[in-house]
Amino acid sequence: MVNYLTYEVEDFIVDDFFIAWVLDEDPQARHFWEVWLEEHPHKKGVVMQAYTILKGLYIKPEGYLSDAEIEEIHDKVRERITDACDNSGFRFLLMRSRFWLSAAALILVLLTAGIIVYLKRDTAGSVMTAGNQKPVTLVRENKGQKPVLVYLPDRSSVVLKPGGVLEYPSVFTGKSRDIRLTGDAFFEVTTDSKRPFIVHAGEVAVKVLGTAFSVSSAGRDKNIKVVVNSGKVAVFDNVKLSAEKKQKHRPVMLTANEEAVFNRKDTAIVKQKLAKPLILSPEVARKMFRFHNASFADVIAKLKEVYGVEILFDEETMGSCPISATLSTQPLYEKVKIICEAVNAGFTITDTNITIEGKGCTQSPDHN
Amino acid sequence: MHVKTGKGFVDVRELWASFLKGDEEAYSCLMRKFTRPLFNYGIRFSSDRDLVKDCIQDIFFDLWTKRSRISETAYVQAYLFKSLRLRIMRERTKWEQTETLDNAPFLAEFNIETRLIEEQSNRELKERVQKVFNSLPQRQKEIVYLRFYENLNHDRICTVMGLTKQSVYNLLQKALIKMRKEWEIVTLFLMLINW
Repeated sequence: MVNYLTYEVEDFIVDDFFIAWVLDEDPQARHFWEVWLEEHPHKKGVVMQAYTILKGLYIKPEGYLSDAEIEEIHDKVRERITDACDNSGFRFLLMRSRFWLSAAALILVLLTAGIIVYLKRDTAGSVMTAGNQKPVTLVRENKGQKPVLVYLPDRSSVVLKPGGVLEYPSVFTGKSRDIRLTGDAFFEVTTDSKRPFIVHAGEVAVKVLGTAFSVSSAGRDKNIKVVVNSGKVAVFDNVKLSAEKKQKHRPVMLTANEEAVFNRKDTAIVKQKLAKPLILSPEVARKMFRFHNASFADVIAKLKEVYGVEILFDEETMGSCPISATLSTQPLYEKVKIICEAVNAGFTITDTNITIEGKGCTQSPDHN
Repeated sequence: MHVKTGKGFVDVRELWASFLKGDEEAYSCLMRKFTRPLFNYGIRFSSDRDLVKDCIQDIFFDLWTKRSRISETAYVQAYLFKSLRLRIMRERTKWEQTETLDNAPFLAEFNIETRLIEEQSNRELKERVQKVFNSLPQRQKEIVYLRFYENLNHDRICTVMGLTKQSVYNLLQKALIKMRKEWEIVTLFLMLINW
């Protein structure tokens, strides 16, 4: 018998019997570990850390194969078998029709799963990026009067303005994080130097590695505008990009407090510096989002003002809770998360707003 | 997409037995079950998707035509992985003469993604653990991949990689010692996590 009492995290994560519980979900192992943990509650911390690491492990590249690609492989194999032995040809044909039936059933299941994932997203507000989930294209349309927060699978935040439509996959699997926008939105993109984030908006593609910027592409006749709050952004002409893919096409590079306007008439991109720095640019945000002993209500008011998103909370119980934090660089989702954690509250993101629920706090900020 | 070796295993073995008797349904089932895991594994030896897809096609084709010569094996997944591994290596050597099985790169970047790893201190922990995984030599990486990601046990890893049990054990042990060194610092961070 191995003495598990001497085990540390690194011993657990490579122990066969431990892995049998966490990854193989072996019922016997599960029973053993549950009993063992009850007997040795002081090891719970170490065990749960090892559990978390094992559960969270995934490996890139994920080598995603689409259903169509799988079908193609299977069809080719069957063709070769049919060619190789004529006798079984007829039977394989039969088998293939059965295959199509099950393929249709599979697609149905996937569609349903997609809808469930989509619905869940809106109520729960966050979706985990699992290593081997099949990506489904999600479409989010803001039919309301106020901007809404959309939380992407890579933890980027998008504030989608009324009338805007955002298309994005349930999981980012490719070499880049591609999403499609119609209308106006403000993006706060998480950094991933290996997978650029690309917003396709009409004739323009905006490529970034991690930063904050907004894109306006409402209406067919209007110009497309890209404004950068922080970081560096490359604006491409989408049409030219696909037509001259092989040739080197120079994008327009933008940094903080610069904007680029794509003129739909002469398809030219013009870059200019903004007269006034944006609120969500680093220099302004550093001052504006530094809170020392501010009230919860004040912090929320600031977020509402800057992002335009409706945030609901109980003014009476939570409004006067003290907040001290610097929230200049985080995306909106993270900002909300941080201040909620500070007052032990939870939050949900719905179609129309962010709702914060908590029991309030004992002290209130001292106004000095 | 994992093929569970625990509960679902009996089914795979039955599937395999039926297939060996010439059951086409079972064969179709096997293909459906293993194409994705095979591709996920194969793509680590070559980033050429088409090459990997062709190799998978080849091994499934061979599987059917040569089934009378295949003995019953409890290690279906290991058997298929091994076949694919050898096939890709053979294809590769056609292009790159210097490559051998032992020093072929294994393209895998280990990541840890959990809801709990979002705060700053946990992020540092995550990065460290990832760093340890990612700094392992190629074959050790492959073993870790097969053990942790595909849930294959030591026996099956031996089958796939054509190594003896002793050398798999030694390689894994080396990986662990390396991890242990790094982990002395990591465990400190782990202690900081609230549960």
